[in-house]
Parts: sequence; C-alpha cells; structure tokens
Amino acid sequence: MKIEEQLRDYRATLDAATDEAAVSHADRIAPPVRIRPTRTFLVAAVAVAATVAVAFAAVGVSHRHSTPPAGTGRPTTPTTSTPPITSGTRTVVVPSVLGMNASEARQVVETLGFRAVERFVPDRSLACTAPRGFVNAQDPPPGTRVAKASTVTLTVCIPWGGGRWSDPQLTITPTSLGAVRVGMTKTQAQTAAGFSFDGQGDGFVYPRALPAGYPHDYVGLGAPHDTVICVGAGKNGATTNGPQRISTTEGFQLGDTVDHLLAVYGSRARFVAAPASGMTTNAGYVVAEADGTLVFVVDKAHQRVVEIAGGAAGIGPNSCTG
Amino acid sequence: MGVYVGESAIGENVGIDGSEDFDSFVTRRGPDLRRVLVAHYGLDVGVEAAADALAYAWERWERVSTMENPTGYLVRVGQSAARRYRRRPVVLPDRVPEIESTFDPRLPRALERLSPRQRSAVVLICVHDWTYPAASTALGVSESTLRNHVRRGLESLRRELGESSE
Repeated sequence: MKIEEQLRDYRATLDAATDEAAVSHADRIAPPVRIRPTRTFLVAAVAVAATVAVAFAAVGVSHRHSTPPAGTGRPTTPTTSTPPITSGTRTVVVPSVLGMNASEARQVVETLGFRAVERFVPDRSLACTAPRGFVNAQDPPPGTRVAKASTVTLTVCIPWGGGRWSDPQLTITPTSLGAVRVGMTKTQAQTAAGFSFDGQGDGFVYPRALPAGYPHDYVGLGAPHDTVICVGAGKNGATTNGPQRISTTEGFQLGDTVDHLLAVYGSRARFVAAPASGMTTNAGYVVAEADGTLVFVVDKAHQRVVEIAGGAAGIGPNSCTG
Repeated sequence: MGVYVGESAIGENVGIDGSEDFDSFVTRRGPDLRRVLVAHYGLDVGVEAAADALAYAWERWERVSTMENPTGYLVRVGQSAARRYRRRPVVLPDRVPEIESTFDPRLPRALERLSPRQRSAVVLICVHDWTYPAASTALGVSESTLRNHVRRGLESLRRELGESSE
C-alpha cells in the first residue's frame, strides 16, 4: 500500500485519539477554587464552595493516634488555591489533624468541607518527624480562619523512596533516583528501575511504559556510552494536583514553589539564568550537596520546580547531559 | 494578506467579527489548533499546548477576538507553551480495533521518528489533507519550504516502511 494512502487511512485514528485526549485532558483538571478564570474553564467545573452545605463550627479535633503528635517539622509550602476572604464570605476554622493517620485526617478535613491535598516526605528526610503514614504538618495551621472550602494540605511521612520506579515515592539525590544510581550501566539501571528504557530524546532515556496514574511526566537518565551519568524527573503543567512522588532528602518535592526551594536550601541554592538557546526557556537553581549537585528547573509562569536532576551538569538545553 | 488555518479558502478572512463568543471559536477552530500542535508535538503535549493556548485566548479574549488570524496566533502561543514540556516523548496513536484501518502498524512510530518539521508537514498535508497555503500559514513557513519538508518526510517514511505496490 502506497505511503500516501496509508497516511490518509491514518486520519481517522489520529482524529479519534486527539478528540479523546482533549476530553480526557479536560476531565483530569480538577477545579480548585480560584478567583480568576484559568484553563479549568474548559471543564464543566462545579465550584466546590457553592455545592457544599455543611455546618461549620470551630473545632479542635482530638488526636486518635496514641503517640503524642510530632513537631511540625519544616514549614510547608502554602497552597495557592485558598480563596481570599472578602466581605460576605463564609469562614471556617481549620481543625488540627497533626499526628493523625493520613486517611483519617483526610476524612476529617473533607467532612468539614475542605479540599484535602496530600504531599509526601520520605521518612529519612529532615522534614519528616512523624511516623510513617501520619500527618507531619498541615497548611493552613490549626486554628486559622479561612474561606469555606479552602484547600488544606496534609504533609504525610512515608517510607524512604529507594526502590523501583513504580514505587509510591521516589527520592532523588545527586547520585540516585530510587534504586537507580549514577555509575550503573543502562542494563543495571533497567533492572533496578524495573522498566526498560525504551524512550529516547535529548540524550536522555526513559521508560515509555509508566504505570497508569503516574503523576509525573517522565523519569529518566542520561546514559551516553551506556553508563548512567545523571538521573532526572519532571512534572510539566506545574500543578500540584494529587500526591507528589519525587522528593529530595530534604523533603523538597517536584512541583513545589521557588519560595519553598529557597526556604529549604537557602543560600545553597545558586540561581542560574535560562540559557540563550536550546530547548528550555526556563531558569533554575543548582544546589551543591556533599555527593554532587541537584538541578531544579523552574517554570517561569508558575514559579514552580518542574524538573529535578541529580548529577546534572547545569541548566542547559539538556540539564541532565549538559 | 488574508490568512487562514484549516479548510477555509485562501484569502478569505476567517477572523472573527468581534461578536463571536469564545465558545463558538473553540468549537469552530479548536480542532484545527489541536491538529497542528499534535502534528508537531504528538498527542499528549499537543493537546496540552492547545489547551494552554485556548486558556491564554480566554484570558485575553477581548484582544484575541479582534485579530485577523486568531488561530494562527494561537498556534504560536501553543508552540511557546509546548516549550515548557521538556522531554515529553512524541507519541502518536496506534491502530485501534474500533476503527477499521489498513495502514502499516509501524506507521505511527515512523512518523514519531521524523523531525518535528517534517512530521508537521506530512501530517497536515497527507493525513489531514490540508492545502499547501493553509498548512504553510499554520506552520509559519513558505510553501516551497513546506513542500521540501513533505518530500523529505515521505522519503524517510518510504525508506523506513519499505513502500509496497499493493
């Protein structure tokens, strides 16, 4: 069959998939409460605040966990989707769910009409002081008065993410991403990751077949000459919907804001301007750790980190392979 | 110069008269915008970039609605947006059982391996059957450049798939 005929024949398949992707993309965008229209207008969004009719009261929820709650750890990133309190807005006091089991905490928060967002920190990180599976910190803090149906972010401690790339959480360091380490051969990395690196682009290899619902867009490695020199993970879209599964040892997560990056790393984060040419138009930060460097690429519009690379050369057309 | 994207005749001003509402614009032009961006960036990034461009248009609708060629403008907005999606693989859909088709199952992979310019040209001209003037306007290249991209893209596809005469 001639190539031109095949291409014409491909049209129905391509159009159907494009239409389906467009619908599915609109459905995936959860509509947080916002004060100005954004891309979420494409979704038949029902404003959560308008539909929840729950009686609110100032509460102090007793801790059901027998161990006294741990300290609040490092400050968490304030959420950006809390509506402003204006005259006439119903306000609610945020309960304390510190030290509660994460799923119970979520239930409490949602029963009171808030939107719960969980973020995870590995239990070996300096940010994590609660037991695994329990709420280590919350934002807004307990007792804060906020507009009805605001978002409450629960920081939950989870096991150290040193495993396969299908694990619930991966920790990235200057020399590793989960169980994949800089210096491994590509074959060893595939075994450690549990995936075949069958995708390739920009000198970067990655598994195409990530599990369904994987919240980031890519994890991969730079492996010229078949040796891993760099590992990286990225989350485009710069939103923090859903759990974040890539974090550094200090609890900084993919998708977090630049403000939070600077709060965690302080003067160790060296700003690097966007390169004059190449694939990226983003600037970022480089942090020198004892065992190497971490590169954080920032989405300029949202001021969030959309890529973290360990062992990277710096911000460039390809921050992983230089 | 009258410019357009999609199936409208060359020279015809298909910009909006200012009274078109955003929803009608999305219905009328959204599919074309998505086709151009999917041709270049693949399904995932193309659809996201199109959504970004439409969100951009929504927020600036007063200004965008008066442009002569809002779709062409939004293609470029989408291309800017797509630059943020680094290292996303270009993925095009495979055959599905629900759609009767006879194309070589290796065709989507072969298209993915073309350069973005050749892929865009081949997809718009040969898959979606756009005219050269329409596609050159959408992609911001001259018709002769476009023809080159199409020719080279088809040569690559033929080499990779081994065109048969059946």
